[in-house]
Amino acid sequence: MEVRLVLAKVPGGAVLGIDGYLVYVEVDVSSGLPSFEIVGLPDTAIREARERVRAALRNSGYEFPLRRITVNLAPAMIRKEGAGFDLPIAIGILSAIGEVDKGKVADCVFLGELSLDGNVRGTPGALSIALATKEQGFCEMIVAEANVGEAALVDGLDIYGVGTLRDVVRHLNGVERIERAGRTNINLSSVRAEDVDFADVAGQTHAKRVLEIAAAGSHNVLMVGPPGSGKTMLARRFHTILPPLSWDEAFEVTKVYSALGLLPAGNGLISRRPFRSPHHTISPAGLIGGGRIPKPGEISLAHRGVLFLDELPEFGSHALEALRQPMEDGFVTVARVGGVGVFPSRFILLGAMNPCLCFKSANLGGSSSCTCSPGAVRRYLNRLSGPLLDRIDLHVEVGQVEVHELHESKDRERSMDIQKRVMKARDAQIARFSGTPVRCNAEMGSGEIETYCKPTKDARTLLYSAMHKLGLSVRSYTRTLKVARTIADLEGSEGIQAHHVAEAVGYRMPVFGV
Amino acid sequence: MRQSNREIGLRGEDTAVRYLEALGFSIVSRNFRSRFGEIDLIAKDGDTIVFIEVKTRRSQRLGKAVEQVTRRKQMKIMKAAAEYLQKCGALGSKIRFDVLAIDVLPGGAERVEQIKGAFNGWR
Repeated sequence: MEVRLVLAKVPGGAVLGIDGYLVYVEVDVSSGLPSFEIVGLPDTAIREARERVRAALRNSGYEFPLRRITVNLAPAMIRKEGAGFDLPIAIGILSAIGEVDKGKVADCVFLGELSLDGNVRGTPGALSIALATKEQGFCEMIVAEANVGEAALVDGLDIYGVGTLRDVVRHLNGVERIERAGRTNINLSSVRAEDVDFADVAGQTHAKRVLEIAAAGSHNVLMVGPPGSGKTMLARRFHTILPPLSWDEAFEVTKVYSALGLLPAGNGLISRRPFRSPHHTISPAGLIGGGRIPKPGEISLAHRGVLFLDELPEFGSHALEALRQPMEDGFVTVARVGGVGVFPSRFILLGAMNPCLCFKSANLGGSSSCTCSPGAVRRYLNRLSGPLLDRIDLHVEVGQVEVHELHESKDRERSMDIQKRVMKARDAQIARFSGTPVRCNAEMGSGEIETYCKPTKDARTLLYSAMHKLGLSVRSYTRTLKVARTIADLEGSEGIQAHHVAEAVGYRMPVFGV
Repeated sequence: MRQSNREIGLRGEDTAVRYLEALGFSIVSRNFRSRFGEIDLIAKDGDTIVFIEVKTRRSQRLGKAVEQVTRRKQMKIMKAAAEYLQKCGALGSKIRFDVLAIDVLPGGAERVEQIKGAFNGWR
């Protein structure tokens, strides 16, 4: 004979991939031997919430009811993970035993991990859950202080940041209201303060020109050159010439970082373009995303930024080939047992490699000091497949710098000046594509190419003959046109002239006869 | 003088018998022993056979009496109950497992809490 005493229902939330969804935490406290069960496909971290909630309640001065407590996480069929349910479970128990007004907890989403002493800790994915909260028609959300910055990015949602479980109870009971958090607002165009600059790099004017084009149109680049020529140095400065993130872009990037719990402490918004440089031993899952419940990989962490793959041929072929589809589509779908994740992956691929294995050849043309056999060189270069190279628009040789160039620093261009030209070209693109989801030349589809990439007669003739001579694929053709469009934009030219096409084709020339 | 654990247990069981009889239960057996374990009290509540575990505690310093009926103890009681039912050919009867928690308060007064259907073997 079970007498149901009390039932409470508290909204909480969790993240699947990078998207948030709401979960109702139902708490039933009934007579029976003392027990505390959590059902609704909880993972280990949620199961362990029992111990945290018990201790947090006691240490916050509340009585933990010695009755039969059953917690259900609805909808029951989705597998949930994370410690963010500690707070809604604790609030559910408190409202079931009458410490908190039951009516007060139904209109507010709770998110937070509890420590044993009753403090509320931040959890990953607060931004995504805040978006889901708004979508489901809620207006209030209570989160840990550490999560306020990201949650307050969402418009039309009242966010309350709390430090301890007692704060929450006092707030809900109206004893001591917590002040609503102000909307997070950052002027993205003023974000700068890089401690590196293109002016640090001696020589390499050719490579710098290529990186400028890449930044202006968001094209992929492969730098080939002997060790010590400055490939890595250039790559590490690439983001200083990229245009600042727009608000929408920053939001997209922040969502990924929030879901993985990688947001830096502070304002809660990723305000600089990401620069990711994974080591070449990375697995395909680490690069693309994976896990039993799929999580984003490096390509999604590089979304709207740069994915730098140093020593490109050293990467596993499975990992490299897996890049092809996401590079083309701008998103990747990862299907696993625990669910399907769709993650954004619009990044600039920046590759760097040596021309051969002995690392002695100064240039691709081959200096006499290279001791590699032609077969060895071929095998090394063949690690990169044609389809992958086809998707890299700009191939550039980064040669050795002459010693005298190291000390001629006065006429080196600063990142800021290059960035100004890049931004001018980007503004032209944004104006051109306004009203469409396309943001830059690299994202153009066949329709946009048709409309906006009209080469002059001379340019067309040149392009056709180049296609013929180099045996370019149709993808190469359209990609070359996009690069030509960017070069024309940098020049401020409306039409695509022959010299724009000539430069674009030049970068597509397979630098190492693959 | 402090009572031994056995004395406190017997005293609790006496209290339990008085309590149950006042409620109209008829006591069928006390301290039924099987090779699996012991059942403190077996009583009849109407046509239901009730197996009762009596737990007595002198101080709540180490927790209340109800907290002491562990999962392992529950399993023992359920196995012993099955043996009892088989012995008296009552396998088809309605049964129930109750816990009677008796907390001896400082000063000697007793507080009895009966949890009907405390466990059922599902979990």
